[in-house]
Amino acid sequence: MSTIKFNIDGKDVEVRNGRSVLEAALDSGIYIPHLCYHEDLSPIGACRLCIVEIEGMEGLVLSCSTPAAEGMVVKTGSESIDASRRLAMELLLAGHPPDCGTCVKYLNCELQSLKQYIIGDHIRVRTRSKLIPVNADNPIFLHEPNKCVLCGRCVRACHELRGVGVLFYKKQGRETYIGTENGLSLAESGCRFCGACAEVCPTGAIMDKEEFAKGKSRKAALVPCRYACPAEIDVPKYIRFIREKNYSAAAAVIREKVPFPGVLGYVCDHPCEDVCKRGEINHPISIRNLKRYAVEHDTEKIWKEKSRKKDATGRKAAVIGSGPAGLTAAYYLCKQGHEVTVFEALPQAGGMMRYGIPEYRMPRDILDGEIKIIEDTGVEIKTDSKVESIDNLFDDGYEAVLVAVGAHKGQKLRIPGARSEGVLTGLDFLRDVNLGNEVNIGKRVVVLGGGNVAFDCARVAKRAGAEEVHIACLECREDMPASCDEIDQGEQEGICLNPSKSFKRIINEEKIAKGVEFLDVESLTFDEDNLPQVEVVDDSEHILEADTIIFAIGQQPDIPEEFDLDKTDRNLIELDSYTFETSREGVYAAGDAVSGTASVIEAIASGRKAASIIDKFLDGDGRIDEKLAPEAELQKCLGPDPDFAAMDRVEEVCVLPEERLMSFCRVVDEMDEASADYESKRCLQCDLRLSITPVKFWGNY
Amino acid sequence: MNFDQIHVKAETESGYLSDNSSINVYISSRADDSTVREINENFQNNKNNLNFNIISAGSPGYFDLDPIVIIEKPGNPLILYSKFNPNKVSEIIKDYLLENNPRSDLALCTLGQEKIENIPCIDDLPFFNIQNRIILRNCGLVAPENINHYILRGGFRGLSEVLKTDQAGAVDRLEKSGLRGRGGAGYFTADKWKSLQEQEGNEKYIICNASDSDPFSFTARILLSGDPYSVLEGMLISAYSTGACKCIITVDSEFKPDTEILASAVDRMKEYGLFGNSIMDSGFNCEIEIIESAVSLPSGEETALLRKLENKQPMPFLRPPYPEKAGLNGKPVIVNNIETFANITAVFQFGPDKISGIGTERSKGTKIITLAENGSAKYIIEIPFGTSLKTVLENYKSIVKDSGNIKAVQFGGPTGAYFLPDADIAVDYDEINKISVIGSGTLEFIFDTECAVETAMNKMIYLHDQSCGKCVFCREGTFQMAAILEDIAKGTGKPQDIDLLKEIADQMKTGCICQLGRTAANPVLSTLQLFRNEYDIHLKEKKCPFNRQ
Ligand code: SF4
Ligand code: SF4
Ligand code: SF4
Ligand code: FES
Repeated sequence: MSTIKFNIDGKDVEVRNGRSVLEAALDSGIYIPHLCYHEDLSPIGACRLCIVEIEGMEGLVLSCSTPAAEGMVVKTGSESIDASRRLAMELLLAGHPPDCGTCVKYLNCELQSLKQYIIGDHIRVRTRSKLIPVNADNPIFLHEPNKCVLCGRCVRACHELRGVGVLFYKKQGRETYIGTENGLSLAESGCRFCGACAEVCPTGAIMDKEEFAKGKSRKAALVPCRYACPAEIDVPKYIRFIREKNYSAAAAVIREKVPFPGVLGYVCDHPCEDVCKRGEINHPISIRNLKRYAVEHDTEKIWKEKSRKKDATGRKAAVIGSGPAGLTAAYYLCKQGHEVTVFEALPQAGGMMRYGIPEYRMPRDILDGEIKIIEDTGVEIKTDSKVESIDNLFDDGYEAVLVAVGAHKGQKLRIPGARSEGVLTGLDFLRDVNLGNEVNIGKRVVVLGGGNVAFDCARVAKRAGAEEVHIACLECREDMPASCDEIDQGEQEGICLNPSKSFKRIINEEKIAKGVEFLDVESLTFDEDNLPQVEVVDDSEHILEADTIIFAIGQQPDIPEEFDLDKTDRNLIELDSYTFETSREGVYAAGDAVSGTASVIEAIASGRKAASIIDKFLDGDGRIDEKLAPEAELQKCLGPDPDFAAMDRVEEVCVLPEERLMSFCRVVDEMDEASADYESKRCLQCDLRLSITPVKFWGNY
Repeated sequence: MNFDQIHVKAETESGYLSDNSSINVYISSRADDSTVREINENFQNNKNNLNFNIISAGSPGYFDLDPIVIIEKPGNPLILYSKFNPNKVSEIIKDYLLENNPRSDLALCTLGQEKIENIPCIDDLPFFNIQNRIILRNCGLVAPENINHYILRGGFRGLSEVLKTDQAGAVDRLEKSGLRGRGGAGYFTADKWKSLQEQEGNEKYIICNASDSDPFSFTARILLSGDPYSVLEGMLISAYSTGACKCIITVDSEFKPDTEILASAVDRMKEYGLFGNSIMDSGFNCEIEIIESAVSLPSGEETALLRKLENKQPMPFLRPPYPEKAGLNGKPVIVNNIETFANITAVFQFGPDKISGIGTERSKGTKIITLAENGSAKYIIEIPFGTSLKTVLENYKSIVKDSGNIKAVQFGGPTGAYFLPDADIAVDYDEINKISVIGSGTLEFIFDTECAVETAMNKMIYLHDQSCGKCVFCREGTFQMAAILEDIAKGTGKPQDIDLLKEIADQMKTGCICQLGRTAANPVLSTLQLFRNEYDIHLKEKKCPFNRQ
């Protein structure tokens, strides 16, 4: 790269060619005030703060738009520079509200910083309030035109950087402000909600609405999906690859963080979708389905090319439990070069993924395939091997042990009749079905509980031959904890919902359950300790007859006393949340056994963390992150799209209820390519904004 | 068609215009439509057996004298009848067209050299005779959309000549004329041609700004509705001489009739093989496109105009890049205003001496000036460079008796400086640019009943309103000056306000992106200079001496 030498304020500096005087100065650590200039945008010379004197040039010169040239002699301060800059600053502030303290941008505002640098507090010109109303009607962004100093950065960002071009200089009365054509909403005018405008705005005039930023790190605020994901899967990146129809690359992005991409495509509870910014416009991106689509169309498996296993370390680690947490940890520990054995009490590996989740929600071949990959990496899985004592493992030469036994013990309410024959816990029931055991549940089944497990039980019961299946729960219909999909699909399959019921007792005859007695719930609240406070309707007792009653009200880990681990009052393993260490040295824990029932993705994330910590314990570097996907070429120019905001979420297509009840086949059909393409195009690409060069304040020079 | 064939066609179709045995009645179309229509109908209906041609012509620019009828009768010079009344049509037909009584009582003057008893020749009429009508020569004397009229008045001869020479020769010729762009700063037009010529390839464009961004100025409208072909010919000449492949002419979308005239003019040119492929059988290809757009004061800036053509917001941009290198979507262009193109045509039709022989040392040819009173244009005249403002005003006063006592005159459009009516300052680029701008060439009066502070304030309010809002000194500077002037006018100004006004004005001169902002302080600075006592009275006595506020 060619460079040029020039002199600025008596200092000889050398900078790369092709930079403006301003850029050259900033590059060499010399501050020149500037406002309308932004590294990523073309200079427009609007604010006049960047003026300098250059030998041989007449008058004051705009440093932002004058190319630095060999041998130039530049002066950044003089009486006339200061006078002119001062007036420019005063004029910029003439219509700007004076009370910085009340602004959200306080201390983060370039204008405020410039004001301090250039003039302090004294303003000679006439000040005014512009009285242009705040516009909070758009999703995501808040426009406060009174704070705008018309630097035009947002306009250039929208036009030049993004090629969208919906922001313009506008007039209202005598005031200029930044707005859309004909006062249309951002959505109507074709905004892509990329946030470039808010990113470059030096003042508080265009900002993300406070609810998105408050209490969050910058990254979590800007790219919520990725940072809401417990494993921090780079969501926008793989969606971008899907848009490019590069499914293998997309799958590789997911693989960088999780060894169960396929499983997640079916059963992830997608916290990313809950925070997806697209949801502010209409509906969140169907992230889970896109994931499934990418993984199932990953024909080239390019992730394998870059997937590395380190040389053997000769160190041994044992993992107890082959659920998502245990297998994830085992997989990454194995890739770090350790010898890993997984002990599983049940006949097959997979934990809850196999014994908790019904097959219609996740086909078993997917799970088997992903476990196979883990085994192929070198993890040894011993099934039908219940670990009785950790000491034995240490005796066998394992240096570290991860307890990832999950939460497999179903709970029953202590109500009369709960011990009757025909009263089951949900987990036992599901495990039996998934083990292929004969289940005898009769014609009428009542499931007690309103969460996803309750729905799993009810729907499995239906498939196992029950004719009439009820779900009863304390919560009212709207507050049922199960996901909407589950509830909808359950109802389609003919499950009867009985919300707002308190369970009084199980009716039995000769210890054989015959039904449940309910009371109607008048109100349900939670006290400070999050314990339910139920008020029932007097004299509302009624009975629902049943052959089988299934409690699906939660589960706990079942940690053998012989493990000799401290436990919490909720029967969970006591853990140092930072080191992941239990009360015994060399013994770590992860997954539901630590957190109580959580999601697959949380278990995976916890397995990853445990792997990294155990690796360090085994003298590794703890770095389990992988780069499996190619770098994505960021298409920073989005172009206008008047229909963008209106693009609606591609809804899942379900197999017809009559058909799906015939078997344990999957319920949700695959997306077709057109839908995947469409859905991926709906993404706002929130991460694009991170590629905009951040601005340094004068204090940093 | 080559030029000869074109000429033959024009002769065949509209021979009456050049044949000196026809009677031609030119009715200026600028006046109130219904009156003009009535005059027109009355001429039609009273023809009897008399054979004469009625021509709906453009306006000669004497709005104060509308409606205007010009009659051309064999053996006599043309006679201009001003403030013509529809009721007089039958009389004039009877008395002048049938008999030979030119009705001197209704006539203003004759056009041309020959004299008629009792009717002064235009060259002897004060005010009118300070003119040298080269650019406006056809206005009022051709039907604007009628290509034959234009051809028979000498049109397209310049183009046909230039097509026979090479580009270097053409530039030479233009250079000899000394022509400077009539838009803003007065760049030498030949220099722009050279820069464009140097650019590779033929994706270069010639762009004509054919709208009056100063609302009081009528230059564009008078030419578009009076002699559009003279502009189009100038564009083609420019295109050929610089190797450009396309001409774009932008017009104000608010003036539909002018645009329609232009559009039909372009259609007619196509018929005559005057644009498209192989113009005049010469192998020179060039397209013409008309683009309508909304007009504001800064939209007349060449960089703003280019953004507009790129379908972007019409806002001025920093130069470089200069348009001659990268103007429209990165392609090289020349932007000139409409008057410049009409001048180019004149250079090639009459020879460079026609322009270089008039004017001052460095400002050659003529300038079209609009005289406006109370916000409406009264006369559009064409004066040689070097004419002093004083001469124009004295002459004007001698014919417009009913106007009040002129206190000052603003020259150059809304951002022009004010001058005293007896200012002995010549209309000359170099001289005026020292203090102000020639701009649109509008002269607007204020009378001695008006307050200077209030006048300046109103200008600043207008300019702030017009400011595109992009650069801080223009947007906020005009606002500040308006606010300060308002305080002074109300009697609440502070003594230090004068210094603040001057400081802001001074910074604006160099601190703005475009000419509008750089010149916007002229009205304030010039009134401060001329009428400082008025400012002081406001400040001291805390009220307006004219009791205006
Ligand atoms: S497209 Fe991007 S830069 Fe333009 S207004 Fe929308 S969010 Fe802002
Ligand atoms: S909204 Fe912000 S970025 Fe846009 S012009 Fe105003 S201050 Fe500048
Ligand atoms: S719009 Fe795209 S990048 Fe933004 S939160 Fe949603 S999925 Fe993530
Ligand atoms: S930074 Fe150079 S003019 Fe604004």
